[in-house]
Amino acid sequence: MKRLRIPRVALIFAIVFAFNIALPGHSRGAQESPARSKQSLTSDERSVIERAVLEDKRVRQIVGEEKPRVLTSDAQIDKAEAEAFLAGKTDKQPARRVTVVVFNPKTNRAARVLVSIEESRILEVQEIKAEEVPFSREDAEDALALAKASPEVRRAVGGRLDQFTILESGSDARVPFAAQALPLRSTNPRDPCSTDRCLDLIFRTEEGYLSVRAHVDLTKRTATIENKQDGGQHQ
Amino acid sequence: MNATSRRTWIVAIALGLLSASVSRAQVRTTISLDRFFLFCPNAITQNFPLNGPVQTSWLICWHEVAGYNSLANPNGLAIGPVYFRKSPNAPFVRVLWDMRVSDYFVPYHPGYPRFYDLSTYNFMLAPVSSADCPACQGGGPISPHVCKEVRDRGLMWKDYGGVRRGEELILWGAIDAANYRYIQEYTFRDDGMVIGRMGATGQNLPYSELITHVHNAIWRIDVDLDGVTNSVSWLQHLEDPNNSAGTATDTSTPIPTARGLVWGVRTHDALEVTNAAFKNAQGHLSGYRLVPLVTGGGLTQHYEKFTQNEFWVTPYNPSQFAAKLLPTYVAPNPSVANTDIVLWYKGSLHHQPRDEDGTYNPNHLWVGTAHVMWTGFMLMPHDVFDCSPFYKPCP
Repeated sequence: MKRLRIPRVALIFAIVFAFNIALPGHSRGAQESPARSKQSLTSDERSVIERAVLEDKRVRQIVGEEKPRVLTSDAQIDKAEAEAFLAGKTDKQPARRVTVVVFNPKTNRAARVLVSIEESRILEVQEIKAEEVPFSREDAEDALALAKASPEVRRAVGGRLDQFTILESGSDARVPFAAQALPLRSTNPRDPCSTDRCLDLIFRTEEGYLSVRAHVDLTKRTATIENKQDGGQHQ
Repeated sequence: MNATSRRTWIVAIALGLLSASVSRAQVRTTISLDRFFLFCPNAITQNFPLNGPVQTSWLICWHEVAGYNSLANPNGLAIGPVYFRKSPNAPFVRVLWDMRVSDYFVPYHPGYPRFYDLSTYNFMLAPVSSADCPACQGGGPISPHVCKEVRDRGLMWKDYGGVRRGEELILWGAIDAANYRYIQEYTFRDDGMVIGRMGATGQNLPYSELITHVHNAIWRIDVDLDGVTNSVSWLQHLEDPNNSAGTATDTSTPIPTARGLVWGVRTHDALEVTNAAFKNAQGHLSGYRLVPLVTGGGLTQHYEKFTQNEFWVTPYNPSQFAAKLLPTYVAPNPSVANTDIVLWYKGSLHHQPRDEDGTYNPNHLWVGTAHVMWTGFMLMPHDVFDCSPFYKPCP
């Protein structure tokens, strides 16, 4: 009896212990992930997503057939799936999704599109107001072109105006004549910038910023010089 | 079954359960570390103290967001998930899923301009170098845009029996918002405290160099305290200065549905996140408190509705990242009790230009730069530890 009791204890212990250590074994099959952040998109992923969005009929119905602007977010990870992966409940890496905004500046219409990266599938399409569309590099370039065509801006900035180019945010390039965009929103309903897409341009030289701002209404296609130091709104 | 046999079963099951509790603690840690680094290859593990036996540890995932749709997914330094271990034998407990700045809103005193420095343009993190985070200060770049610093943080405590200094890990990057830089700084302290700060610096706005304005940062903080089933309470200190008895009370009001709350300058308002299943060894409900770190004695509010509360509580929604849409997020009154919640906090900096910011040269070019001003918040553990950490062993 004594000889039998010890194995029985050991057997039960072994069963309970084995049950408890089964979980870490579950994690061994997990796939190695790439060193890059899961939130970053590869250029291939970006182009596949953007192509899928532009070919979608619902998107085209909203923004039209002309070439629109496409603004793609970094990927977002499905939280529930990420939790399951971290807890060892699944070996499947969490799904990633991106939000794409498609905007036609000519019609001022825009769509927000949710895309599954793994499935290359559009999950949702929704029309949004133009004022919700973030400004892009193209807007800044467009604004600078309008500024360069404006006699008023040329008078204020001087002959160097043509030398200015748009400097991308996050760049440490030493550009001698850098123009930068500052998008504007107005709360005053009488201000066109409460509905129009407006931005200010500022101008940096190697000696510092010029004490001037060019005000550009991209919707009305106008460029003027800010002269509202007292805070007056654009009328 | 005779008595001996019963005893055998009891002993065996007890041993099994004991092994279960030990292995579960190990398993939780093992799985967390194993899976955590698969999920987040660039994660940081930080043990404290820096010298001597480990007492507390952080597991911190971070990434840079540099997309072209900053309304849906704001650019900058995003933190999370984050786990904290309060002692070498304790499990890692999740504290945060995601923490980041949602937007910077900068209205000028004349009513115009009013900038949204994250959501309306795709401003990116500026490059950093060893000059930003020198090794002699415990620093070093961990990416082209992010600095890590590990350093002494000053006194942790000082009493009749002695003194101890504390330590912290800091991650920071700076958003390049044209003429301005917004430093996004996140601190993880040895005592379980998390601090988020905005630092505003750079060149005053061209042509409005001398106009007073406010820099508001609105953080989106997806707190996950030991999981996603969390609740939030609004904490206040109430005291009537006309009450000669001099008494005061502390209140804790559960928040059942999504809403915004105004921070009171006299009431020490804070939000506390708890998880009914998360308690310390004393049986006390563990929590993390969101406490404002106010600079200059107040927080400004503006015409825009989303600025008219300092705190907001919303249920987790993966598509909700836009501070300016907060009033629409809370409008349907969704439940925030025993669910996955997100806290939002607005901090303000009142920037009245001064000669120290700069001046005009004879060519009317602005010469000078505004030194960093700071505001932010802290997430303070409350009854997470079983006793005073970094002092003596718990009695």
